[in-house]
Amino acid sequence: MTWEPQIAAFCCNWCGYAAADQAGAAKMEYPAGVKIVRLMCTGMMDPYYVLRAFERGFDGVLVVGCHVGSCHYKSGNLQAKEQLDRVDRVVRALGLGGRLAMTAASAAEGNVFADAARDFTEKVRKLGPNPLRQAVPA
Amino acid sequence: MTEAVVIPVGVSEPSAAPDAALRTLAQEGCIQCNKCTFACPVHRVDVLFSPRKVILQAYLGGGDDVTERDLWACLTCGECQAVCPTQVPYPAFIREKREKLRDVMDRAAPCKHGGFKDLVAEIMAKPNLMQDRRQWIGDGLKVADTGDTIYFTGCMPYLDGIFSYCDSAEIGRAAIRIMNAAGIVPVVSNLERCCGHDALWNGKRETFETLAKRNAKWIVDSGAKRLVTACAECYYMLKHEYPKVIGPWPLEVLHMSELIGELVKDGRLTFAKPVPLLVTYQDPCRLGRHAKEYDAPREVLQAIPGLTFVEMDRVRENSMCCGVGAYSNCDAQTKFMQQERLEEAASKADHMVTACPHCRIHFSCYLDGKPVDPLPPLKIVDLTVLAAQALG
Amino acid sequence: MTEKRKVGVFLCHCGGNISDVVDVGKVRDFAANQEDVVLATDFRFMCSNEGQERLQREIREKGLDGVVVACCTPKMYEDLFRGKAAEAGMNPFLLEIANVREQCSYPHRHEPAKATEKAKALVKAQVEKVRKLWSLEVKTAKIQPGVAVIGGGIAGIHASILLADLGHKVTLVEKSPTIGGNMARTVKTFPTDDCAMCTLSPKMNEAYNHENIDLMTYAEVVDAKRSPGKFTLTVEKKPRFVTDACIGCNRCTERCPVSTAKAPVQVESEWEMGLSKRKAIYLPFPSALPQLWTIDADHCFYFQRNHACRVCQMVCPAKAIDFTMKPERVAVDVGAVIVATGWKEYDPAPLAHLGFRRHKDVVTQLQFARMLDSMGPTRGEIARPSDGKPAETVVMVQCVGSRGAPGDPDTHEYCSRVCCMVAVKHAQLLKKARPEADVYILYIDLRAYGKGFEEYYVHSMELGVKYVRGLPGRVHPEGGKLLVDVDDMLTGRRLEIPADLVVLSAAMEPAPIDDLLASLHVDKTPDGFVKEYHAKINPTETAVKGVFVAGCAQGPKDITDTIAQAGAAAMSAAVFLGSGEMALNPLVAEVDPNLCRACDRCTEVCEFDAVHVDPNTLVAVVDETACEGCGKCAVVCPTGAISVRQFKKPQVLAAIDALAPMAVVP
Repeated sequence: MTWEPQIAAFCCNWCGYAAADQAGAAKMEYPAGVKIVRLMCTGMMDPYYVLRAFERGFDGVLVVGCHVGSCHYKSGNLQAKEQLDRVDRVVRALGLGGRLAMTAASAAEGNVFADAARDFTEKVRKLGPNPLRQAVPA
Repeated sequence: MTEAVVIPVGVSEPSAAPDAALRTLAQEGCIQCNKCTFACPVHRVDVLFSPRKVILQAYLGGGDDVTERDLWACLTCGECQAVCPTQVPYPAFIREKREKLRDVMDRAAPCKHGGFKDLVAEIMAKPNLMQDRRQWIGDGLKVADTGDTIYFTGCMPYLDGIFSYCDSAEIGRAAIRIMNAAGIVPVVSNLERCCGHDALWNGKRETFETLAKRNAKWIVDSGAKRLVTACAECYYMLKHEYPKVIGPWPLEVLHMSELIGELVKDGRLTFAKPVPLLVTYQDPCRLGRHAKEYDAPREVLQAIPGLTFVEMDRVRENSMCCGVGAYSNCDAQTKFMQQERLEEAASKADHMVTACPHCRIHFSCYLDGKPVDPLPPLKIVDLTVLAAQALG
Repeated sequence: MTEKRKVGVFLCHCGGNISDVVDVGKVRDFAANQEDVVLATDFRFMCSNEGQERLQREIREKGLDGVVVACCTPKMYEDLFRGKAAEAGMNPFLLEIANVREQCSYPHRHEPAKATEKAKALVKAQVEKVRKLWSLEVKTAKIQPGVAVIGGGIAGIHASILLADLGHKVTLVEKSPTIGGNMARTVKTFPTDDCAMCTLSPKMNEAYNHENIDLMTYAEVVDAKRSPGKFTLTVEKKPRFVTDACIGCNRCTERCPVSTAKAPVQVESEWEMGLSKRKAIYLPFPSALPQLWTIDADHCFYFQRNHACRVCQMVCPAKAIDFTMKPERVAVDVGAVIVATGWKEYDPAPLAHLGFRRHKDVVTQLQFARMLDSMGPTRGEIARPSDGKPAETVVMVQCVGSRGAPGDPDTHEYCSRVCCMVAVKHAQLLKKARPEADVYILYIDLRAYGKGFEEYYVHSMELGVKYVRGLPGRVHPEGGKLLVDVDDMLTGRRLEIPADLVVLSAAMEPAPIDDLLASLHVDKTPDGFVKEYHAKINPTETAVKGVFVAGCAQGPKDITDTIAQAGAAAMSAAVFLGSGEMALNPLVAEVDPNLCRACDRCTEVCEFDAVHVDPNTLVAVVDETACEGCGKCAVVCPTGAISVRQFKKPQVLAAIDALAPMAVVP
């Protein structure tokens, strides 16, 4: 079985998740390894989720939120950026550098979501499988 | 004394062996005098919490009657054991109970940030890890891949990614600076793992043993003669708990305060610059009561020129815990414990010196938020950082 | 730890949209084996009546306390299914949707095996989350009576009248000095060639006189604050410097020195689309409502030249000029808002080859409409703006600024829908007035989609309007005419039409209301118009409960469709207001008092002022009517005391763990 990058995509309900919906509805395609977890806002992104995703074997973590200035809750995406910058230090020290990314795609930008999903999958493919992957007990 | 005298009531078959935790208790023999409860810091902020009561329930209930609150509220600080006339090892008892009951009584969110720290430790227990643990070191400091002295950093590379209240990497940089000044180029290894302190004390024995074995392998393979750490918890674990799992060490394990003291005595380290601060010292539970090291940090403080050192009232074996044990019990009561201890410190000095990065984090977390009552200005400073300041 | 649950999984085929790609049977069997799942079933259309009945029957018969519906995006039917579950006796918040269509069968339609595996993971993730959900109670808030209609064009007017007739108090806010909007400019309406003002004026009067409509003209909504059941709009009323005493005699306008022949300040009339000038004190058009003159302070010599001129005040017989008037800000509390801000015409200047603004004889359709108006800048004469001579040859160019190439920054991708009929209308009106005129329409497609449109279009051809399929490559002056170079694709011949007047059918653009939309938290669609709740099934609501949209603010359309939509929006708003109370979102933050450190971190990050530490209990308290459920507080809380319902750590982790790969390192 060839390895396909598995990406945990944390998407905010109003932008990222809606952009993913729009990408699907507009019949765009992106890799099936991208699995979306719906949050109300990227401000809900707890650094714990990032680490948990890696610990559970995801090869990459992508956070998709609203553009700066357009957050449905005013500044949730700004807090997300702060938290993710901080956790990225941990991620890099653990030898998983480059596997965490954050981007923005408004509800109307299905193409931006699809492009980000594709581009990030390729980026992670070059990094190889997550070294932490092991059989997780059922 | 025979065991038959102390077999607890309620065990279904008289010949059935009591579990490990009860056995620990049974061997020492609690006499229900309640001194532990009066010494316990948690009891002072939550009258319903009583170590004596927990022990009694354990005896009566056949060993399965510890409530979730009682299981996790204990700081494992050891203040109870310090005053107990029969030296009942209550922290060890709780630790073993957690091992047994963890699967059915896991608190979903103990200290939230501790949960994060636990996850980092779990990741460090995995085999195929390729860490980059030197980013925090910075310019002007020398470290090596091989050598006589290992500087064990523990969770240092990760702490600042979790806690924003204070700069923990500062401690590491100060430690290396001190060693460099004394002509030591320490080994800082990417193979290091978390020492497993929280895993052990929160009942995750398998994780702890995995971490211990992985650490022991590279440490022994390194051929180093000494290992020094600036963290009270890593020190206690490496010196006292690891040998129970991996056997005796072929090298010496020291706390940074011991090393500094030794270097100053040998003349390899000189404190040239006065540090004119008024300080008091917080004995960490793991360095103090658990590892019985009370003097080395005090000697370092005495050696720093310009420093005025005033002791708090409750010190050494009576020192009060920082309020959080193994990151598993920060809750609505914790702030009152922290207020109590910080008020005591602030009444003696304007700086509190800690010898454990976790004491520093917990007190800093409290000061970063809103104190429950107004506090005179008090700064938390690490012992190694203070010593490095005196280098000049 | 987790108590036993009875979860039902319902997989939808979506008539093939899902089942053509995802092997629903395999996913169903997989789901049936998951812990706590007592039922896994599939059906062609879960959203149909039969599907919903099935859902309810199984909930009742099996006593389900958790449901996962694997179907289209939750944005479609989460509310519907939750409502049905509630009717069947299950708490609606124990139902989750697994998005196996938009986020699985659609984007991975060429990889059915992977899509099926992903669908399994998505279903499992929702099952695991549902196992950790608990019942939530829905609280309600009273809805503030009253509705604000923003925009006084035909959409806003029509919606306001309907709501006012129903007894609602309507605040109608219009930015310009008069209501009427763009319809008042159009002179005649297709396909009936009715006089626009004749059909519009009665409605304008009705809105102006209605006892339930509070009309604010020359006023703009500058801020909007939301709280459950209520919008508080801050309306800034600009000063007209003319009081109600005005009797409409027009003497002030006659005597105003601005824009006279030798005046240093010339102001283009917005109403006349720049074809003529207006004074600094003016009435936009004769039947403007309110019939109040307005002084434009930006050009008036009193304001711009240090009180130098007071002519209007001196000649006014009613003493109605008051230079001391100030802007006034009022707060308007309403329960519903209708956005009816309309459209503006695209400015074709960036399309250099068409020569707009370079050559005076190139105009837009709205400008042409003003020329048709017998009360307009040319007194009804279709003349060349350059020299006033009658325009004998008129060439109309379609799709100017519309149907542009994707990514072209100067044009829009969308079709503006009405310009074909506008061109047909103008062409045949001109031909009727001057049969000897030569009228061309250069087009790509001629879109005559509505009732009576095709007949109107055919009639225009009978009148002699010439249709050329092709758009011009160049418009350039030669010999006193404007030569229009175009390839006629149907005959294959290149034409050079010597035009007196070139009329550009410019695109319809949304009015510039970004700030308003931001303050209402309403989104836009990629074309820049207001985003409706659903393009097909709900074009009058927006994603914000209580905010509706009507007319061209939502997308290009003609007057017929505008009135239809405005009626629908008014009805939706009336239904909303009529219910008297609205359900509050229970997915907000809550605090576990046993864990709160009273450290204030949650308070510091909250943008909605929704959480405060009670100084007596030292526990943080959430104001559930203000909390929006963003979750910032939950992340910064050191103990996890505060968290958002349904997005607590165990619930999100359940989803993450279920989606994670179970593979071994290869």
